[in-house]
Amino acid sequence: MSDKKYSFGRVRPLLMVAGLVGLVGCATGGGVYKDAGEEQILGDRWNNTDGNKTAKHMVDSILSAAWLEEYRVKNKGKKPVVIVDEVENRTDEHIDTRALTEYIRSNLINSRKVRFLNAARRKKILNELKYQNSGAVSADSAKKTGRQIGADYMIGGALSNVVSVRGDLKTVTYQTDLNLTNLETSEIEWNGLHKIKKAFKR
Amino acid sequence: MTIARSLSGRALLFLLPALLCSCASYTSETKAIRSDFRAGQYAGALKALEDSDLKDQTRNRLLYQMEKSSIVERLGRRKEARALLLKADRTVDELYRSSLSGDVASFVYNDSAMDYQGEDYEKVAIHTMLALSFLKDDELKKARVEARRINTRLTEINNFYKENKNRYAEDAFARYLAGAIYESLGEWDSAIIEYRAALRVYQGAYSRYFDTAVPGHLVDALHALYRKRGRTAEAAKLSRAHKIKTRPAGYGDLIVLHSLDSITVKTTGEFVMMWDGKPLRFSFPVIRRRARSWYGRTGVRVDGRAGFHTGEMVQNMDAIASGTLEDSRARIMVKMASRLVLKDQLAQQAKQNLGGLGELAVGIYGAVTETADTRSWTLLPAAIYMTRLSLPAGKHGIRVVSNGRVSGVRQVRVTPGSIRFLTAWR
Repeated sequence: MSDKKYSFGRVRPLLMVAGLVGLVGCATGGGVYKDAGEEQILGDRWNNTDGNKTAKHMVDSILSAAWLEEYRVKNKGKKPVVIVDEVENRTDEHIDTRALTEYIRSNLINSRKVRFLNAARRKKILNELKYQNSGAVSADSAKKTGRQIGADYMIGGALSNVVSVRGDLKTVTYQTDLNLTNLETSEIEWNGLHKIKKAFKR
Repeated sequence: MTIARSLSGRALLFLLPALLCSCASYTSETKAIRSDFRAGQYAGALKALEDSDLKDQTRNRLLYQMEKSSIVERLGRRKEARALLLKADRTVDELYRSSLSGDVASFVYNDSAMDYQGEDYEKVAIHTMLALSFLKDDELKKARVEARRINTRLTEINNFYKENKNRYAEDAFARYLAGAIYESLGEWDSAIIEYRAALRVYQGAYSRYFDTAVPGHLVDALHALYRKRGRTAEAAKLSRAHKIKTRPAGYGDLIVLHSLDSITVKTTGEFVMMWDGKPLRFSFPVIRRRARSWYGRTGVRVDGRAGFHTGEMVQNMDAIASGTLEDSRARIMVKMASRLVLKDQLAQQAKQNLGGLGELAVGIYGAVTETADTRSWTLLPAAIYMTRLSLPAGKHGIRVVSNGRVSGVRQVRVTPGSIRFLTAWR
């Protein structure tokens, strides 16, 4: 009897494995969906931190570049008027680059060194002006057309990435390339490049 | 008597998992979902999926995400479908890092105990399906992200195998689609790179293994881009090897992508073999290829005119799935043999320690759990056809037809030098 018990004990681990596997593997087993990967996944993809770091680098670079002082000297201390174009997403990830441009725009406005135009709302502004000058609005409060300011510069660019995988090691390099174009001459007066390299063990 | 009772009680422990599990194959478990899907009853297919065990099986989460995306896309809930596919893409990455426990389980149970990691062609299809969904909404820039992602995924797949001898190592359709997306955005050089890669793969593996010849419109598009970029030597070389149809000046292109039905599924093949005087049951996945005639004739009619523009097959998913299974056949059989040996050893140990009843119980467990792993993304299209036309600028009425049945009617505006995409399914 005791021999039998001892023998059963030897089989028990195998039995337990088979039993557990059976229970786990069969259709009645299961679990709940969790976003277990989310934290890790956040790491090897573009995230807010990357966007903020890039935007900060670009703002520092653009405000310390020579173009700003040169413009002021040439225009008797006037601040340049700038518009921001979209940053094109050329990566293999779905990134909302508006967050990047909004960060850049807000920091440039707050620096008080440049003036900004609301290029994105031009159509709506024009419609509003048309309405105000349609006769429906009292003449003394209607804003006049032909008084908008033309931009001196446009900021635009692209975000791209290069992915390389070697064995278990995945490396992603994001490159943001922005430039400031003089709208009168089409000359690029500033160019900023920022790279973020991330290496992960898969 | 006490011993016998004790033994039979313990033997029941062996039997318990087998008795608890019906252990049906994936193909049979998901049959209701597929039949509703094929009948166009997408709400029913979704309900069947949500009511199935698949929803709660962590090891099958990738399948759940992919199958569900196919259904909700057909329901017109494209944002939701895309969110599921993007999640599936992350799951593919996540599963690369895990699944060791499932591997162990697969040696004492069956391969279905493992996390389903997705076949290589399914990992790429996540992105082609995403691109098609974005194109349906005219979101070209988002489709371009998928074009880039296709390249990343294919590079990853080929880096994974040091010497990739699998039949499916590249995806000609994914490359062609990526090229067309780049071309539509005016990124000619990127388009040329993708078109050339597509041409190479169609001429190689796709012609040899997947019953898919080089589409004539791919060659025409590549030739036109060579000329546009002043690469005359390459254009001349291409025209020497192929018959080129030149695009009339001032015309725009219309690309109609037509997904047909759903992919042929894995079924269970079985045989019994005597080993050491005992019968051993082998159960393995099988894919039965469809005859080419099954796909029928697909194409478009323009502006109600009599002429029918026949589409060309650009992706034969059935053939790719079948080829992929053939490539893994040896691995599946070797693993199955190891598992059967292990199960037999378990039975022998049970016999030694528990007697005949124990051996019987383990034998039953072994037989019941030996079920072929037939898992796959079963709602992928069986094939994709492409019709590519050069049309004069202006509005055109497009009627997409497959096997005499109209799959879609749309009005499209074509502008000179542009590319418009239309997607439809049968």
